[in-house]
Amino acid sequence: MQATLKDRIDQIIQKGLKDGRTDLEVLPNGHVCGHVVSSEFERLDFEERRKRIRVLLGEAVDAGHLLDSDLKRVSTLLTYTPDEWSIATSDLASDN
Amino acid sequence: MTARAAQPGAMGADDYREGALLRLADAQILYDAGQWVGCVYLAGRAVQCILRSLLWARSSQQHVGHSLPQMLDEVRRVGFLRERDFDGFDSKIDVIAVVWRNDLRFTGLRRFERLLKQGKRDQFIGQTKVTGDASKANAKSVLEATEWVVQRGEPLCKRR
Repeated sequence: MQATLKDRIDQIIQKGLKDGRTDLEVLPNGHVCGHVVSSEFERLDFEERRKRIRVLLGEAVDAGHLLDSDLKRVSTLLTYTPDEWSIATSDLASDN
Repeated sequence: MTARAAQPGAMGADDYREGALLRLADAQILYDAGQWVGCVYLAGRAVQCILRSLLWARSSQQHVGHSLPQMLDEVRRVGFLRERDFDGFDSKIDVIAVVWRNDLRFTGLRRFERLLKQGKRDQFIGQTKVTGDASKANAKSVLEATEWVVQRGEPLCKRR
């Protein structure tokens, strides 16, 4: 059975980025979005992180793992260093 | 009065969270295409969506109005932000709110440039001197601040 777009993007990012981790979801409109964590993002601004992911997905198209049309269904991938992810997902003030 | 109780069929926290992700994606596409005004407008909408999602999740109220600092105050008041995040959210929302306006949807590049000039944003963005295209520099600063707000705020929406 063909892997879903979400599963394929999961694999591409986890394999392609140093310490790559993902937490993706499929929105009701079918677009894939979510969180991408990698130590590669340290010292990169958001634009550079976005370009890094775009290069990775472009290479996946060249390798036949994704179609051009798949890229149109990739929505926001929020990028985090491991430290940023740890801060963003730590307990809420009101839970303390 | 800046908030009202939800009406049946009104949008909820999940709708606003989804809207934030979609509008941020649109803003990034417009930035990469050199469409600075559209990028800023949709970035501000993404921030509104995140703040509305957080507000809705805790208070079941819909914010009325378009002031991003006021919306942030309301989110803080309902106890959603961690104290250590206060400064970060304040500074990023300030960066966005000084450029973003609800009427940017009607605004072309010439008027946008005039607005930047009026606010001296064609010379400095914070402490940084603007060199080159002021519209691009302001779009970049707004988009980066928006990415930070969504990056920090979206996980809170999911964990409400």
